[in-house]
Amino acid sequence: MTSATLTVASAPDRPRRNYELADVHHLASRMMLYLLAFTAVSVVGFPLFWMVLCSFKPGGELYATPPSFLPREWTLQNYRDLFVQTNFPTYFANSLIVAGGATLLSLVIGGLGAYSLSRFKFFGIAAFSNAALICYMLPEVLIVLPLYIYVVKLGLADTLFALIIANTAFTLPLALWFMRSYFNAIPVSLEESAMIDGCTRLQAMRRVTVPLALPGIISVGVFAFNHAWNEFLFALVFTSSERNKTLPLGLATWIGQDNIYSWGMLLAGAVLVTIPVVLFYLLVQRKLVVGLSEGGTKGE
Amino acid sequence: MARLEIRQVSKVFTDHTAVSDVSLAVNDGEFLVLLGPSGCGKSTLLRMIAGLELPTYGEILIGDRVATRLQPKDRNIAMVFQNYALYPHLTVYENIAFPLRVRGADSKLVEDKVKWAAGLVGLGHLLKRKPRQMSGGERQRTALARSLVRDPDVFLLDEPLSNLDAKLRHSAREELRQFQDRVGVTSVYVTHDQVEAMGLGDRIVVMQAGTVRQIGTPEEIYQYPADTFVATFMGSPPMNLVSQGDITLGFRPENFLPESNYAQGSDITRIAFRVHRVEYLGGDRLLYGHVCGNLPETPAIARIPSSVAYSPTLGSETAFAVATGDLRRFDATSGKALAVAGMKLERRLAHG
Repeated sequence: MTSATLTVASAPDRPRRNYELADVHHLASRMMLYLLAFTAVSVVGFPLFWMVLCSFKPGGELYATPPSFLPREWTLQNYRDLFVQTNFPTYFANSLIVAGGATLLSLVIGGLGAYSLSRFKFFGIAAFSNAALICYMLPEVLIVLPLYIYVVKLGLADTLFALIIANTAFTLPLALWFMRSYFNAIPVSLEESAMIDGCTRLQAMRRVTVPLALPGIISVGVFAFNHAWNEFLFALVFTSSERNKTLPLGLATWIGQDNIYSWGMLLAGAVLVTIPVVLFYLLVQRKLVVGLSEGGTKGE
Repeated sequence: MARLEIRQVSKVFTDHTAVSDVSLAVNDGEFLVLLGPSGCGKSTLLRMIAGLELPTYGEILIGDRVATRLQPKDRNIAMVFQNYALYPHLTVYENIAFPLRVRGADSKLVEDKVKWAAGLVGLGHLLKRKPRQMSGGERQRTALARSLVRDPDVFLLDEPLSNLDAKLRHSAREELRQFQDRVGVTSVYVTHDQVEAMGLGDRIVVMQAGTVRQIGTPEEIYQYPADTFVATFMGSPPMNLVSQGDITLGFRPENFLPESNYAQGSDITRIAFRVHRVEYLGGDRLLYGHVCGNLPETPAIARIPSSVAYSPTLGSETAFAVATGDLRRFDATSGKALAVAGMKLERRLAHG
């Protein structure tokens, strides 16, 4: 008899698993979860999906009854029209400038402001932060006309700069509150330690606080970008020339422009409008990991 | 390495005074412990030395420089925080390298220094970890290495052991002291744990309510407390205090023994004691009871080594005594110690 067979023979049988009701419950709840997720994705995702499909259909097929699910004939004609017949590239560039500028300003001003709100205590600071939140609750419609008067008086009418400022002003309260809570969660002792280790306060903020608050900063960035990218009302009121139109405004003006709804072109435009936002999300979503600041302090 | 001097420093916050009129000097290479109950101002004092708070009054001198208004970064001090304050987004290596990187040291020097500092505290194999992947003791050593990597003039420690469990705390204390002996850097250590203070400090500063109660070597503080606060704060169980007219008598529980324990004719003061309860602690027995006889009835504790054969009778008055040399006297109204005749103390380096 070899030693190998000996080991096999003496190895005890693995005890049989005793299945119980909880296992069934576990399985059932997993199935329900996936069903629910599938339903949600279908409801939310179908219009998007439909938009993408239809943007590849030729004009006539869009009105076909019953509608075809997949385009019978795939075509890029809608996209071609978009670039040839309209100022789409200009709108697109304008939107990028406005959204990018507003995002950058929101992050810089909001970040520094939120840091002050979180770290310093001085007269009126609580009142200021509350006032900022109340301002955020005012609807755009309410402030757009008074703002327009300022815009004209400052000679900023029909400029992209006015749009950047207005969008920043609208995003800032949320940026302040959101980032403040992130900064509050970072122990002050980390910065103090950095300052003793040789940093100035700003250096300590840049080297320690900002990297730790990154998920919050990115969330605010996504929000600011998204808002400015989709913003319609400010763009409608503040800009007038074709040269300074942003995407939402540009797309809206085609509807009913000559009583012919050019749906194909609109859908193609909508697809292209969506792409940067989706790309932006994909780019930053990995960084949206929460709990980055855990574990740096405390000894347990 | 430098001498540190604090001159008449006070810190007044809007609603209370945290530190009032503290003066002390830390000699070059000395390990000074600030000891006191929580809220006594010891941490505030440390933060003023670090430059994180500005003293309302007074001056702080580091070396020959007046450092009162210097930024923390310009003081060349290092500090270990109670929660270690490790940067969670950096590896252990980068944490230790941080003070050097901020100063723009070149990477060769950084590498050498980090290896040296990590080696000192035995962290050489963990350099790639993030703080959250380490145990409390390892984090504490990382913080230590980070604070030493750039040869600070003064080394500040704010209760660095209080987050460790009891067993680890003991070994960390020993390591810390060995380490300080090796590096010989001027250190100020804040703690509320008197055992830590006694074990670590060359000298101890006992603080209470923002004021300094006593400065001295562990022996001085323990043997000759300056007032009743220090007498009861130091030692566990604390010194027994019995008031006798306008003075208060003080004696340590371990000096309070049955009269039969003293040799015939030795200079002792008899104090009658009624024992209520005995606590057996292994090496010692604690006898809880009341001082009685010609003294006012006062709760007191006696600590008798288990090696002394003595079986107390509960509830009855027993003849106890204190060697007269071990008896301390305090002014009953001010609480200040009265001069001890023939106060002799071996002036030696506490932990030489």
